[in-house]
Amino acid sequence: MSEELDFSEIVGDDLYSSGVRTGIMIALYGIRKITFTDLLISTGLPRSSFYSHLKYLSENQYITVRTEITLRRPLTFIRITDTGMRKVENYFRIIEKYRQKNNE
Amino acid sequence: MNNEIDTTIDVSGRIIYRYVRTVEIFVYILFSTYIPVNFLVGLSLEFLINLDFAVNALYLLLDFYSLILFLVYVFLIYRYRRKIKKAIEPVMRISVPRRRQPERMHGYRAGSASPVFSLLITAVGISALLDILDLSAYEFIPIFIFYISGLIWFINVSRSIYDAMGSGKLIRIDLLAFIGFSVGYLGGIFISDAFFILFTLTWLFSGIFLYLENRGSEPADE
Repeated sequence: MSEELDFSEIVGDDLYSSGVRTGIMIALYGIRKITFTDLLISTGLPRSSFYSHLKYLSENQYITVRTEITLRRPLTFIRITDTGMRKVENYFRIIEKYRQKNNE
Repeated sequence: MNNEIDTTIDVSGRIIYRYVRTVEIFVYILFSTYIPVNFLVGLSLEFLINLDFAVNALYLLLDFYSLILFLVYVFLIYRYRRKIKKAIEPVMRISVPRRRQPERMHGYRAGSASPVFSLLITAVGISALLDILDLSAYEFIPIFIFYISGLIWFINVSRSIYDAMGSGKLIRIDLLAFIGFSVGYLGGIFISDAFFILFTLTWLFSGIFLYLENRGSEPADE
C-alpha cells in the first residue's frame, strides 16, 4: 500500500472496523495456523458470531479453513493467507501513522 | 477508535496467551522427562557395557551421554523460544506503544528474552568445558543456570502477554515449577537423589495442570 494511507481507511474497511476480526488476524499473523476449537475457546465468542467473523474472513480470502486428518482425529485448521498477511502489515502501518499523528 | 484497538488487543492477546500456554505444556512435560531419561540412558549404557560384545565407543558414550542429552534439550528449548517470540511480536507491536511511554519504546523486545536466553547458551558452554577438564562433579552449576534462565524467560514471556492485555497477573503454576526445581534439583545434588523426583513431579504436574486448564470448554451459544 502507498504511504498516503490514513485513519479513514480503517473506518472504511470492514476488516479493520471490527476489533474481533482484526484481533483474530493479528494473532494468526504471529502463529500462522490454529485449530478451530482453540480459536473458538480463546476468543470466548458465542458460536454464531464466531462463525460470522470466520465466514467474512474466509470469503475475503484472508484465511483458509480446512479439515485435515491428524493422528488423533480430523481437525479443522484455520490458516492465514498471503492476502491476510498483507492486510495485517497494512494495519500495522496505519496504526503507527495514527499514533504518530496523535503524538505530534 | 481506541475501543476497537482495545478489542483487537484483547482478542489477539487471548489467542496468543492460549497458544503460549500450549507451548509451555510441552516444555514442562518435556523437562520433567530429563532426569528419568538421563537415568535410563545411563543405566542402559552400563548394561550394554557389561555385555560381552561391548565396544569401546560405549565407554566414550558413557562419558558424554549427559552432555549430549543436555544439548538436545537446549536445542528443543531454542525451538520453542523462537515459536513463542514469533507469536507474541505482532501483539506487542500494537499494544506496547499504546501502554508505554514513547521514550521507553525504543529497543523494546518481546519478553526481554535475549539476555536470559544467552544464559542458556553460556550454560552449555560451561558444561562442555567442565567435561573437557574432567570436572563433571561441578556440572550441576551450568545445568542449574540452564533451568533457572529457561524458567525466568518463560515467566517473562507470560508476563509480557499479561501486560499486553493490561494486567500483570502472576502465574502460580510457573512459581510452583520454579520452587519444585529449586528444592528438587538442589536437594538432589546436595542431599539425596530422591529429591530429583520432586523436581520431575512438580514439572509434570505443572504441564498436566496447564493442559487441563487450557483445554477449557467451548463458550455457550447465545
